[in-house]
Amino acid sequence: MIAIAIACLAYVLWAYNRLVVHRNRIRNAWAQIDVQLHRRSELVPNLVACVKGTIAHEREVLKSIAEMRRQTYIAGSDIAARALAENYLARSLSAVTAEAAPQLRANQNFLALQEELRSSENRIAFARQHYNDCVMRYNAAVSSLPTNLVARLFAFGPATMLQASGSAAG
Amino acid sequence: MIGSPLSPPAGSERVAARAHFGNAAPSAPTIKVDFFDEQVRRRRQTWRLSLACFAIALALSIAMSTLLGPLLLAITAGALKLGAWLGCGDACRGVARGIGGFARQDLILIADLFGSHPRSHAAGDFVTRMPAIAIVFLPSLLATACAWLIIRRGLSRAGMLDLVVAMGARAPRPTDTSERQLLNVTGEMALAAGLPAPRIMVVDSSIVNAVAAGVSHEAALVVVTRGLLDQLDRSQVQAVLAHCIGSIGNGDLGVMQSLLATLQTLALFHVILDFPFSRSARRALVGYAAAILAPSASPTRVWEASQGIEAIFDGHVDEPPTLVMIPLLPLRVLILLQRLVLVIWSGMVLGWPLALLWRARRYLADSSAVQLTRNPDALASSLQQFAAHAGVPQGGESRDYLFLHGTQRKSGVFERSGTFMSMHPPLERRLKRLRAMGAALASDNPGRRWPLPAIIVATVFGIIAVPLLVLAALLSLTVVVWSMVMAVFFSLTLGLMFLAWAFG
Repeated sequence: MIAIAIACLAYVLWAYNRLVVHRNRIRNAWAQIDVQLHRRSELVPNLVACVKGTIAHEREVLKSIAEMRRQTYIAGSDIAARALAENYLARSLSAVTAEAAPQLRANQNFLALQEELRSSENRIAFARQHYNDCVMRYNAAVSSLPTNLVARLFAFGPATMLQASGSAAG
Repeated sequence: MIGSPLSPPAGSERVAARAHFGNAAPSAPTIKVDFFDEQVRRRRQTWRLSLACFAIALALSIAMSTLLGPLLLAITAGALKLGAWLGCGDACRGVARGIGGFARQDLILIADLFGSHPRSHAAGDFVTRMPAIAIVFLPSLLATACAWLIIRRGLSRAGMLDLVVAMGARAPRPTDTSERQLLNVTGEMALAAGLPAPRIMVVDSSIVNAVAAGVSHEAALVVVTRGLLDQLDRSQVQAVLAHCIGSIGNGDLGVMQSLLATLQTLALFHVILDFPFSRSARRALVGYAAAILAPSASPTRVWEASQGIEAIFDGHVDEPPTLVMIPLLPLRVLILLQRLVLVIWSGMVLGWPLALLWRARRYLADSSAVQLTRNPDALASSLQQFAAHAGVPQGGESRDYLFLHGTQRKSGVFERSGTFMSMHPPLERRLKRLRAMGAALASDNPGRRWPLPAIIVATVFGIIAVPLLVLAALLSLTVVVWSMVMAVFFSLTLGLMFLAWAFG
């Protein structure tokens, strides 16, 4: 009888620790998305310096990019506003890069910058993919049968995934 | 710091997790196997094969205990004799009597079981006495387990990093475009896997190949050839890196260390047995002990030491016996016989599960690559490029099994120990699994069709041959077990005689 009780207690401890590990991975993945978004923002001044003199309506375009970048910082922890701002920033960066590319084809700096921007977009996408994978594993652990009792006991709720369309942050 | 995530979208979570970021494929090819299911399948396969390897290695060490048992007893007797001479005579005598009593009891048990009326004992009797008999093997099994752990720890410290020196790998140059892309791609895949980015090095060679080495997933290394960067485009390089990082994250470095430790433990015990007879064995043993036990031995030194030990698999019988060795000739014959058993067993019996195990890890790494990139086409097309420019860079031939794509030339320890099965899965099978996971490749073989007469012949042959094969296997198993127990009996008697001589 005592052996069964000890076994149950051991299982509860093990399941709780597993859920904590999964939840921490989710939080870590979420923070990682933030880091990659910040990395992309850091590239904007380089891009601005590089494309000076090659695109039409340069002043307005560059001013609006700077403004959108400022918006992402202002949005802070408001997810909807942050998502919107990051989306706008991403679109204008790709538009500006596409427009300047034909003229700056031979410019080594610009090519390197283009590669860095492409890599940043990829990193943001893969960080979100990793976040979704972590959420999936966590949700599987929370809802599978023996563990979900422990989860309910310690108030581990299911986490939410990011949508592919980019309506969430990034 | 942004706040907590939004409310979930409608629809299945797996679909959301699988969504491509970026351009959607115009017509998605059929996905017969989800890569998560493939991963579960390969992990289960790994467990089954690990159990098989463990059981065979256990049987092998039991068989080797026939000579190791009395050796341990002789060493203990010698140590006790020394202790008695140094002054604590009574204690040593007591210990010797204890060991003698223990061994004598097991001998009585075995003699009782296989003694005067062997046929009158029921099978159940044998089974109930089994635990007591198993204790006989315990000392040598413990010795084997300790040796395995020490060797594995030595291997994990060395981390196969001697490859870097042997291949002449260098750090990637940030000024070169494709090497810059390589660094970025590594960072991306490390993010997707949630692992720290491995160190990247480049080998200047036109062969297309890549290898993952290192100590653990926190201190890993990926070496890529220049040919790979030249032949593959960005998404293909990404798929290759995803395979390497996925393999590191799945713990393949530890798996390979365990496999190598298994083979090296077997080789080590035979080098120990060869110790009194051959000078090269003495050199190899001393070098190996120095390399494994030294806290700061370089990976190259550990590698060279283990090559010396693995030379036993080559089967050379060197150094004719001198006059001093002639009295020990029967022992030498016994040891040679046992080495023959070792080579046959490790090649024909242990080799297959080891090779299948490593192949299962390769398939697992392939499916992890698909999970990380969500793009099976990239990996499939890059594997085809690997096959087109196949080879292993100079300096890496003896570690053929670590590389992403294998060659026909076999010179690693697994091949030398006699495995007929290749450590690499065949390319067509890998492409077939990738096709099942959604790669859009042209299918070369639409499926072979056997002609009807061949099917009938094969069925009839199977019906006749299978029971015969099962019978033969059971018979040989009985013979092997009987001879093992007889050998243990014989060797324990020898050991007891030595103990009796040591203590009067």
